[in-house]
Parts: sequence; C-alpha cells; structure tokens
Amino acid sequence: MQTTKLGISRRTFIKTGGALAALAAVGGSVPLGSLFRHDIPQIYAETPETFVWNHCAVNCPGRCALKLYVKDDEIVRVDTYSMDTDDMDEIQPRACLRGRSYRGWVNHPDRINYPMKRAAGSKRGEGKYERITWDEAIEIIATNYRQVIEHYGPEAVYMNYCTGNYGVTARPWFRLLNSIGGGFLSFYGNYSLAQLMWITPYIFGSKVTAGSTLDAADDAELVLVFGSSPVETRQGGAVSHHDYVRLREKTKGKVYVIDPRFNDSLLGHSDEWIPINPGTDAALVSAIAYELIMNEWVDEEFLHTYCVGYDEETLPNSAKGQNLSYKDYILGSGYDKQAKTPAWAAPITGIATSRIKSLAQEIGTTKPVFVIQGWGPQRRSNGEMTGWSICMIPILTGNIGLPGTSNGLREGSYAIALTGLPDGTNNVKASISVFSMVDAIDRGSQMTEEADGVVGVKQLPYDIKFVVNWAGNCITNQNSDINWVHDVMSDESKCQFVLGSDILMTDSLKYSDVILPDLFRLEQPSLIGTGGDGAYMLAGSSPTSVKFERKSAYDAATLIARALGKEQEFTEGKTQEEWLKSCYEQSRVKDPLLPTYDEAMEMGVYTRKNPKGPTIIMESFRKDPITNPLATPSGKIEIYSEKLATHISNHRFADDDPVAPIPIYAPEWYGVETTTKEYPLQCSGFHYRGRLHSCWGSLDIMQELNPQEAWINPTDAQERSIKQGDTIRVKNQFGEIELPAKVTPRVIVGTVVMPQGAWHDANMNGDRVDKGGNINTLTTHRPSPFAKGNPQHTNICQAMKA
Amino acid sequence: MAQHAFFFDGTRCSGCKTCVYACKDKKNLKAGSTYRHVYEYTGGQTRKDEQGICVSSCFSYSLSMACNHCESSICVQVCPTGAMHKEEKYGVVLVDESRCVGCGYCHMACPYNAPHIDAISGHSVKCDACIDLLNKGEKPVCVLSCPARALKFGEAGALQTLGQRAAIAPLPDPKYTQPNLFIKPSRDTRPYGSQDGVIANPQEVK
Amino acid sequence: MENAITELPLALFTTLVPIGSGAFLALALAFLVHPFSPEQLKRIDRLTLLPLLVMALGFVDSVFHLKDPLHIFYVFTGIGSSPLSNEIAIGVLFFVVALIYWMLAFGGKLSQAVRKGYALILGVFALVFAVSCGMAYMIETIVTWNTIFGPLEIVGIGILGGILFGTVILMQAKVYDDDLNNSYWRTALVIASVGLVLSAGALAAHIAFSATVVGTQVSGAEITAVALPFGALAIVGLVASFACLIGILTKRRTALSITGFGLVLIASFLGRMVFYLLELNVGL
Repeated sequence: MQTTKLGISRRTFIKTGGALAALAAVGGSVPLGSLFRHDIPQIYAETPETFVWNHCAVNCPGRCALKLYVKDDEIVRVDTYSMDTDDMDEIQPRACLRGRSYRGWVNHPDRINYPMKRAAGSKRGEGKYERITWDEAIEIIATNYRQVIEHYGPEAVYMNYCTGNYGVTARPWFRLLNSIGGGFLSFYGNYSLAQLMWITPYIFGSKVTAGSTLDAADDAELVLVFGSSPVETRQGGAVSHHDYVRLREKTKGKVYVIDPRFNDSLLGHSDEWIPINPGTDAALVSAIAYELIMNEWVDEEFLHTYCVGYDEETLPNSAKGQNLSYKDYILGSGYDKQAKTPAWAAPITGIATSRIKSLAQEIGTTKPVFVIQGWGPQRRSNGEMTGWSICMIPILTGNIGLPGTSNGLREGSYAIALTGLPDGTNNVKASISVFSMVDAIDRGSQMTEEADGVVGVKQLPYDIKFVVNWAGNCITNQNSDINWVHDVMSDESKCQFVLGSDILMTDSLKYSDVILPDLFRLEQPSLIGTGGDGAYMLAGSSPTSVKFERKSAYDAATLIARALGKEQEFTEGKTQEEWLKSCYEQSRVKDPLLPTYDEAMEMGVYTRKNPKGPTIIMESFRKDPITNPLATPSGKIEIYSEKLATHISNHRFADDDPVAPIPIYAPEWYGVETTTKEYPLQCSGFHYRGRLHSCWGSLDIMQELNPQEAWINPTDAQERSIKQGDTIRVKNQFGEIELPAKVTPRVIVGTVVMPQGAWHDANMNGDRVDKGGNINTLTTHRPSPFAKGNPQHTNICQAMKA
Repeated sequence: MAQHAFFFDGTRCSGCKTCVYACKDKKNLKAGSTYRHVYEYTGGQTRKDEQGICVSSCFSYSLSMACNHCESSICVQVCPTGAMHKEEKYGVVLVDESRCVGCGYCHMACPYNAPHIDAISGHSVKCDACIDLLNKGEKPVCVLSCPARALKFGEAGALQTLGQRAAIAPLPDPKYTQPNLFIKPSRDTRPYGSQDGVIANPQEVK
Repeated sequence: MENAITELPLALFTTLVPIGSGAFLALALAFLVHPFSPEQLKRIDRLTLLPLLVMALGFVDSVFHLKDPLHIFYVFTGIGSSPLSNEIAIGVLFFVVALIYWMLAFGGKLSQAVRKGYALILGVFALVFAVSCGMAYMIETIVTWNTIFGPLEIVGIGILGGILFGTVILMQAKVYDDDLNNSYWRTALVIASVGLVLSAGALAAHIAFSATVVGTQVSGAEITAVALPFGALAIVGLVASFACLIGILTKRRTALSITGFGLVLIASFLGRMVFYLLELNVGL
C-alpha cells in the first residue's frame, strides 16, 4: 500500500474522495488532510558549517577573500569576507561576481587533468592532445630544454607574460629557469601599463610609480578621471570599486570622467561624463594648457621650483635657445608651430571649444584638483605621450603633493608587502619588451637595441626557441593580432618547443607541445598582500585533496629541475608550503605588525588601515624638493626630459611614431585622424565585469548575463541598418570578428568599443572569422615607440550587419 | 510580524551583478534561472555635429532587484493553490513547493519579474530573502556581497526613511502591490512612468 | 509574447470548454421549442456525449499545461480569493453536473419537463463558466487583460460556438426536420448573433484598446502589430461561421453547420491566441 509523506494511505484517500474519484486518477496520491496547511518549509541547499579560507588570485589587486565550503571533498559553496556595517572605511575584501562564480570554473568540463602532448601527426595550434604520464612529460621538456641550450643558449629561452595566478609562492618559473642553468631572456613592462611604466621614470623618477590613494580626493574641490572606470577594473569590495564609490560620496569636489564610453563608473552620474574621441586626451590637455597659460592660471612658482622644461627659464642647457620648452609647444612658437588652442583641439577631441575653455577655467581656478588616469589612455600607439600629457594638468597647476591632490598617474594603494619566492639571479643580460615575444620567435636575431626595444645587448643572438606559457592566455587571446600570431606560432620551424601549463584549455594553450595540469591558487596553501585605500592580506589553505594528476606549479617545476639535475638549487630542500612559511617570516621581519603564520591562516583576512590617513603622493618632495629630490636626472619633475631627448637621438623610430622630449599630442597610426574610407570607425576595448581578461570567459552562467557585445552609437548603427541585438561583423586590415551589437548612446559617435578577453573562436584553416568576438583579432602587433608596448586600443574598423 | 524590506542605493550601484551571482551560487542556480536582476535603464542621445563636436544628453543608471515581498503581493492573490504565501515572521513571500502546480500565474501577474517557473522542478521559484539566513540572524547573501555597499535588508519601518518606495523607472506605479523595496535615487533616476529611457539590457534580465 | 506559445494549451482549453459547455444552450433551446420522441431523444443523448468529451479534452489539456499537475487538488483552496481557483471550481462543477445530466438522460431517467429545466440550467451555467473563465485573467497588473473584453470574448464564443455545436448535434441525431427548424431557427440565430457581436466585437475592441497601452519593455502598439493579422483572421472566421449558421434555413444545412462549427473552433482558437499575444504587464 502506497503511503504519502504524511502517512495517509492512498486507499483511504480514494474512499474519502467520493465524487472526485474520477479526477483522483489524474491527481495521484495527495492527502486531503494537508490541503489547508502552509507549514511545509522550502528545502534549502545544504551549507556545511565549516569552510576553508583562500583567495582569488588573478590579474586584479583585489585578491578578494573566499570562504570555500567543502563537502565530500568538493567545493559546494563560495562565500566571501564581509561585515554588516555602514562604515565605508571598514576594509572588506568582498569578492565580486567572478569570485562568487569560482565553483563553475573550478569544476569546468574543460579542466585539465593529466599531462598531455601534442597528438601524433597534429600541427601546433590545432589543439589536439593525447594523454601521457608525468615522467614522459618531464622527459620531453628536459630533452628540449637541453637541446635549445646546447644549440643556442639561454637567450633562446623565454617565460611568457602570464597573469593568471599570484601569491607568495605562486610563480616559480623564473626561479626554475635561473636554477637549471644560465637564465633566460627576460621581458620588461607589462600589458597593463607598458607605455606609462616606461615614461614615468622620465617624468617623476623611478621611485614614483602611481598616484595618491583615492581617499586623498576627499579633500579635493575638483576630481578629473581620465580614461578610467574604477568600479569595473578592480571590482572587489576593498579596492577601487568600493574606494571610488566612497570617494564620490565623500569628496567636496565635482567629478568629471573623460572617456569615449559612458562607463559603469558613471551609472547614475551622467552629468560627470565628458565624451572624448579615443586617443586624443593629449590634445585636450594641450588645449587646457593653452588656456591655463593664456589666463595666467598656471602655477609659475611651482613650475620654476619643482620642474624643469616648462619654459625657457628651466630648460637644461642642451635645449636652451631653441624654442624647445613645453610652453613653446603649447603656444606654437616651437615644435610643430601650431598653437594648441581649444578651437584646434575641438575637432580632434570631439569636445566643443566652449567646453574646453570652461573646463580649463574650472581647473585653473579651483584648488585642490585631484587628477588620475586609468591605463586605457596609455595603452595606445601614442600612449607614452598621452600618459605624460595627462600628468601635465596637476603639474601646470601645482596640484601635486598637497592634500586633495594626486599626480595624474593611476591611483596608488596602501598595501601589505610580502616577500615572494626569490627568483635568483638571471645571468642573461638581454631583455625585450613584454609585447615582443612573438616578434622574437619570428625574427629575434634581427631585433636590435636601436630599433626594436632590445635592452642589455645590441642585438639578440638568436630567435626564441623555448617558451614557458603558464597560467596565461597571452600567446593569442590576450595578445595582439591573433591571426599573425597563429601563423608564427604554428610554424614549427621557428619556435622549437612550447611548454604549456594551465587549469583550463585556452586558445593560447593550443600552441603547447606539452601541457601540464595546474592547480588554482585557491586549491593550494597561499598568502598574498594587497590593498586599496586600506591594506590587507589574505591567507589560504587547500580546500580539497588534489584531483586527478594535477600538480602545483611549484611541484611541476621541481620535477623539471630534478630531471635536469638541479633540484637542490631550485627547492633548497623546501616544499611549497615550507617556502611559504619562510618567505612569510622574512616579511614579518620587515613588517613586525603582521600576525604569525598560524594566526594568518586562522583569520584568513588581515586588514590594516593607514595610520597616516590617505597617501598623498610626492608629499615629501613638495615639502622640500632639495632634501627629497625625485629620482630624475634633475631631481625635479621633468616636463622637458634631456634624458629622453638623448634616448630619441640614439634610437631609430618610424616616421609616424610620436616621439618628443616633452608631452605632445600626436595622431595615432589608427585613430580619429587616420581613419580610412574602408575603415571609418575607431575601435577600442574595455575591461568587463563578466571576465577578468579571459578568466571565467567560458562559463555559461557568466556568458548568459554578461554577453560579448560591440557597443555602437545609434548614429553609426542607423547608417548601417544595425539594430540593438543584431549580429554584426567588425573588421579591419588584421581580421574580422562577429558578435551582437549593443546600440547605445553610451559610446561616442565614430567609435565602436567592446569588452576585451572574449574567447577567440575561429576556423584558422578557413575564413578565420572570430565568432567569439575577441578584439585582438583586430589589434596590431606593431609596438609603441618607446616602451615597445601593446597599443591595443589603437584600431580602426568597419562594422556591418552579419 | 515585522515586515522586512530591501533597500537599494541607486547612487552607489555600478550594475556589476555581484548580487546576482552571490545568489546564484547560494541557490545553486544554473544558466536560465536567476532570482535577482540588474536592469540598465538608459536614455538620451549622444550625437556629433558636422564639425565632429559631440553633444550628449545620455543618462544611464542601474537597478538591482529580486523579489519585493510586497505588502499586497499580487502573486499571493492570484495563486490558485495557496502555494504562494507570506510567512509570518518577516513578511517574506515564499513558495510552498508541495502545493505549487506550476500554472505560471504568479509569473504573469508579478510586475517585478520575480517568480518564474523552474524548467526542471516545474514549480514557481524566486527570491526568498535567504530566509534560512534570516533565521540565523544573518542577512540575505546578496546584501553583504555588494562591493559598493548598495544594498540593505531590514525592517521596512527603518528602511523607508532612507528612500522612496520603488517609484522609479522602469518599475511601475508602486500602488499595485506596495513593494517592500526602498530606493535612494541617483541624479539620473527617472520617476515611474517616465518614457525618457528604455531597459537597455533586455537579454540580461529575462 | 513568448507566452503565446507556452499558453497554447490554455488557448485550447478556453476554446473547447466554453464551446463544449455552450452546446447545452442549443440543446436547451431545442427542448424548449420542440417535443421530441423517445427515439429521437435517445439519439440526441447519445451524441450529447460529444460536448462532454470536448470539455474533458479541454480539461485534460489544461492539466498537462501545469508544470506540476500532481498538486492539482490544492487548486480548490483558493476558491473565493483566486479567480483562477473559482474558474476551475466552476468548470469542474459544471462538468460533474453535465455528466450527471447525461447519465440520467442516457439512462432514460429524465422526464421531458425535468430535461427542459436541467438543460436550461446547464445552458445558463455554461455562460457563468464562460464569465468565470474570462475573469480568471482579470489580473490588475496585466493591463491588457484587466478589461471586460476578455469575459465578453469567451461568453461570445461560448454562445456562438455552442449554438453551432448543438445545432450540429441535432442534425447528426437526425432530428432536425423542417418542423424543428421552424421553431428553432429564429431564436437560435438571434442568440448566435449576440454571440457573434460579443466575440468579434470584444476582440476588435480589445485589440484597439491594447494598442493604446504603454509598457516598460515593449509598447502596446508593438504587440498589437503582431496580434492584428491573427485577430483579423479570427473575426473573419467568426463572421463566416455565423454565415454558415444562417445556412440552417437552406437545404445544405447539415454541411454548412459542420463547416460553421469547424470555422468557429478555429476562429475562436485564433482569437484566444490573440488574447495571449496581447499580454502586457504594467511593470516588468
């Protein structure tokens, strides 16, 4: 006899059902007695009581705290660190939507479980692999390494730029390459801020790498944000997402965000948007400088005391008497002899003459002014000059080193600094730009110091032959000109061997000859320090056992060192966890306030507010520039850089490379002034809430609510009969992509913008149309003039219905 | 019964959807099922004249909303089986899964896109204000997930001093169901009934 | 608008049950105006199973529309507060009362007098059900449904379709001679014309009204544009079915009535699809 949940038998029910008997057969066994009660509660997903702390570890300084709830050796829920308080000054590294979606990523069906090698008969780039043992994998790796060292040398060995995994002991590969003999060809710069990183030492000296913390803007009367979306680029609860929202509430000042896109930091605050054509910030700044000079709003005393190069008075001797000052440039008495008036800048920037003038007046008559830039304006073909130009606004007006000011660079942070696994000594002197790996595979031995950004030697001795690509999608996906990269990388006569290691099969990983299965940082014991307005440190333990044949990067590197007879040199007898502890003890010597290792592991999150309050950059320099000089040749802020002038004369540049010893505006190779009939639109990327670069990009739940779309202005869309949601093609001289259109007034006319990091998806043996909509199918691999950095926002294109 | 409510700060929300995904992880929701939605409401124009000078009247703001556990919940009214009901401690509207027939009336009637019929279980599902957490003295998972601190949850009496009762576009007149959602508007926020803008991300709020 | 597809089973239910129940209107009319012999009644009663089957088909289909029909008995707890519960309760009650009628009639247990009264009650009850069916959709937040047009549409098709259905039954029972016709046709056509005016008129007015509604995501004008062709077809079909009914005055009455019945089923179904296409919530 069947009984229901409440124990009333079916037979009883049918007896009492009476006239409803005919329908009872349809209804099934439902107890009459429960018809009128509401006391049956919902069944909730089980949450185990205990959890393990760990942290996010991708290319974001958030490093947000993760509470990993584990049941039956699987992570069943991911929560974060949070406090129920209204106090915006409490440091809470709350994980963003990506951190909350780790479960789907850690358990992704494409997770790599075993070592693999390229399937017999397959070509590099096809992505066909067969499983091998760890012993076989290490043997292949060691053999190829030995061969490359024998036939070439360590300059042919290269560790690619990879940003998927950070922590005290997370990155063992430089150490490995140094341990196993000879070193490796290193890189300088990074994809985040290559151009700005290169030029900043010329402006402020090498000891200044960022601006004030965002909370310094509390005291500002005017806040200028160039090309930045703090809520999107660092989404966690204790970095700029939170800090910027706080700034906006606390500051006395009016805020302006200058950006081709009405970015998400502007939501609800449309009066703050100043739309600008991409790549033209330097023109805007030059015109503002013109107004500041003409109206005597510049702080001449500051310029003469703290800077060199503003006018003839402070030029170095080598530049005197030649109209080479910044003032000469702006007023038109030198350089291109063009006065940088607002009327000149208006058609370039797309900003009205009157608006430029009124903005200059606001800047010139307000104090203090807080100026920051994101890393978008510098990630362009004129990025060095653009980044430098933006800094001219605080420089010209003396808004540096005082309460309520920054220095025009990206906002700084107050952070916990931890000692990391030491890399050891790299005996190779040669270094190339981070952006040049594929060039160096293609024609490395032709790359020179004079023309190609080689540093340390006059010319590279050989092409790169051995590449380590771990925890990074920067061979193709995040790298420029994917179609060209594919052709170089799949040419097996060039690079001999690519060692790949990652947690998931990515587009870049398909160029590996051997793949090693990696672990997420959150699957390992870990420590990491970081901060925003406030500092914090995250500690983590392994939540589950290690699954399949995956190994940590440290353990994989150990095996390679062992095969090459250098295990002791690499490990010094320590496991990863032992290194973690010993490095942390070194950190505690430098920073005695830090908790003990065990305390840190227990608490998971350690926070520290800045006892001095906000960090005001260059405060001591402003107080006393003689006692506290900058690390520039003059000890001052260099508006005219003699050192840069020397660099220019000692190196070769293309005709359309914007080079000058002062911050100038120069058109981009593919910009608003160089669009063509075939490619009449500009195209730039932006960082997207739904991914961290390409991380999380293959998760269905993330793609569902965070689609890859091309934002296009209604004017441009209407001309092309494109409607909201239409599938469109965006193409240029480098490639073609396909994705849906977002027709929106949130982007300036004449520019298409799209999120970066979408997963490249094209038939490379067919039409190569990228159905994933990755912007890097459209970007150029030509490097920026000085930094030889990635100009990934400098693009032109055409858009059309698919 | 102390009716509880959500509070949403429209001056802080950046539309990031962390709240949405915190909920999805806790409730183990797959693609196709979402209890909280983040709307992008956008209007105005961004144009260029013949000289290429840009003029913009563009405005845009986000709204994060799950279930508003309304005073006069229309889903409870139209539910034929009594499955949809308001519980007695917090005024949270819950679905009794042992009674729900999956007729979809709650989904059709709700003006806030809260309940929908789950494809697999065949029942109405929606935000339940994490009542299991409420019973432990904690807050719904979305509230404390927000990096920008844009959400609150608590007694309606206290929260109604912080903002107006859900009377903003693209929401309807709050008179229909008296939603327990209090909103601090941003400078861009338009009142309900405004035709100034549109929901610009319809695919993300199904 | 995607509801139009998912609501297909309900469109079927709200076509079949009103028309099936409405057949009793025609039968009641026939019993009232004309005496039938016991053999004739027997043939009529046999065929009276048809409207019951049609209604049962509608009910079964509506149950399968539910995503979890096993809990269906809880529907009765909402009687009084939920208009959907009311509709289901009235519908089920009607079916039971009609089934009892049929069992009694088919078993020869109904006297002429009781039969007339019972059939009349069923006919009126059918209208009550049609009204409750329409009112089930009068939800305050669904602006385009919260109108009198919905109930009027269903009452209309119940009357028009019911007269056609019942007339077909009388003809198939081979009792529809010129005698019956003389007593029957005027009243039947008048009642049917009321049904036509209600169904077609309310549908037209409904579409016109919906066009004026402003929504948050889609406008009334947009959804009306999609619904209009179907609505126009439905109205044409309803008119055509009535035209066929007029054919009871001719020699081709049997063929025309069957055609008309087929037309009213299709047209009513189209009209119901239009109803679901016009769904527009006051909010999201």
